[in-house]
Amino acid sequence: MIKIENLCKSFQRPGEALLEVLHEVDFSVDKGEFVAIVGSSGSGKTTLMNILGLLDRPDTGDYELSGKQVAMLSPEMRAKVRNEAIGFVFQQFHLLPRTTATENVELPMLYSSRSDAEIRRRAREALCRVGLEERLTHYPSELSGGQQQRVAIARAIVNDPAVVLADEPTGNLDQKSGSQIMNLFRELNRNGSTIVLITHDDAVANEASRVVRIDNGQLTEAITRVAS
Amino acid sequence: MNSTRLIRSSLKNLVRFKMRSFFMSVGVAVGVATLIAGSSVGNGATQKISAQIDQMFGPGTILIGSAELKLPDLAAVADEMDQVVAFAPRLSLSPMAIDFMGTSEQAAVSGFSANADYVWNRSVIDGRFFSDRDVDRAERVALIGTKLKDTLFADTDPIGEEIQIDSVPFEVVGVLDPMGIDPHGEDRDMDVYVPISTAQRRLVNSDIIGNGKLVVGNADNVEQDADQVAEILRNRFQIAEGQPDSFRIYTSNFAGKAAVKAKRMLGVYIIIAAIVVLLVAAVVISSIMLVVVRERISEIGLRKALGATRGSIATQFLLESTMVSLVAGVAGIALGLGVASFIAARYAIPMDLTVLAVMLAVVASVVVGIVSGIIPARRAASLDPVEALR
Repeated sequence: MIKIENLCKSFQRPGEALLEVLHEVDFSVDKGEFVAIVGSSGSGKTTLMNILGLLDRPDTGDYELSGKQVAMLSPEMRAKVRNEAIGFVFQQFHLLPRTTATENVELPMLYSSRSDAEIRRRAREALCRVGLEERLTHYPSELSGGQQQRVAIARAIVNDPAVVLADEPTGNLDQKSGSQIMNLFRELNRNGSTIVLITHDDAVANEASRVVRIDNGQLTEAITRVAS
Repeated sequence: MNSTRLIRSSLKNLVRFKMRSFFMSVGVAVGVATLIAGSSVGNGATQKISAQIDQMFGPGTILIGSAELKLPDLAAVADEMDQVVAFAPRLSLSPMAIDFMGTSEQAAVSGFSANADYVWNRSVIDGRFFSDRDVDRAERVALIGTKLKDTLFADTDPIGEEIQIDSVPFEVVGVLDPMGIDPHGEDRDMDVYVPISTAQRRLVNSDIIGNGKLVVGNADNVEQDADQVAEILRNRFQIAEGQPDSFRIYTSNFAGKAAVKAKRMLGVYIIIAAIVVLLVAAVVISSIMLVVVRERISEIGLRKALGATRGSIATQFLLESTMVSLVAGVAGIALGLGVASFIAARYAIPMDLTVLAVMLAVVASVVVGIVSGIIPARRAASLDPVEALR
């Protein structure tokens, strides 16, 4: 599903030395896997996430997603791939305010060629899958943090993406809501979704079926565990 | 994102942020209202003025004004020029006291001949005009304007009643058709018309008539005809070569040209005013949209992450500024119509709104919306999603 080889990425801020954030990273995810990438802040995990999500481009290296080379695509093509093949879940939820749960979930489909009827149907189905069938027309301000993150997850899965990328999805939630969200991810994974989770929290990472550690721009450790 | 979805979502945003949309709309609405009200009132006013000029001059007419003009001079001109089909004198007197049963009113009195209803283009709506017999015998009969009639007689019938003009008794035989305020600012509905012979003998005791009007057959040659009139008058008044005329001559042609020029000037002022207001409106929309883009950076980042291309982000913001401007333009048309109909009712000016003015207003508001959206849309489209989502 995802295959990354020899990936390098550096940043240069004005007046500072060149900073190599990712160094010759090799990484792959199979279809149906639930992988956690663990790292402390500054480890390069957000940069890796941005590249995996085609929000950023690597300096060198290969990135194969669903059998296609995507590392060096044009901005327009990357937008199309993001729309069709990637579902994002963010730490800050990033829901549109004053917009209902259903409309928020419809958002990625507005940039696809689906019909209005199909958009409405899929949005409702996605909200049902995350257990929010009672909250279709609620505004984000009327929902708890955990419910808002569920809406965001519904938005991430609504286009049936090849992979769901979740960046610290429990970072803004209390313990209980956080574990409910992790249960939801496991359930989605059992039903076939491929999930890549990025976190600094070992406890959260251990909920995944495979944990990869990133440190100083290198994937230094990979532990294969039995799927739970 | 397809276009109906884009339009729907931009309209939704306008409704969602009512206050902001209102401030963005004000400029365009005022600019468009200026254009609409200005053009309607301007057209109506020139229409009214031209109608009055037509009434005062009529096509193919020559107006003579002179302090020494007498009736035989006018007759001599008409006699020498075959192309003159009709002529009529006018003697304008300074305002006089008009009395009826103890009510007194100052009004301008003029002396006319029996054919003045045709030559001077004003007849009666009630009663009768002068007859030749009235003029020959210098009868004390009078025609009064509608407003004077209302002042002196209220709702009663004035025909056959006796009024005093400067203490001379006259019988009211007719009511003049309404004409309103003329371009000189005179209220022509306060006019009193009497036979010119009566005015000369009973009111001022003079042979001077002061004004005369000639109707020539062909309106195209009116300028050459006027030159001929001038030559005849110079001979009759024995004005030496090189001396200036002691009379003034106006043609219907001249008056028409003045009206056209006035209309053109007015049009230029209205367009300049509207352009200035719309430019300010564009700057206002543009700066508010830039604030909107900054406010919605994370929304833009999110949309990009979810698959929006640069083009669809740019189109979204361009559409938002265009929709707000278009809606404001439509409101401005309604506002302008309201102002125009208020002015029309208040100052008795006909409303004259052309389809062209409305189309121009719609096009102008769309152009303002697009132009003011370009910079904000480009800024939104060029945002880096990674930066925007941070």
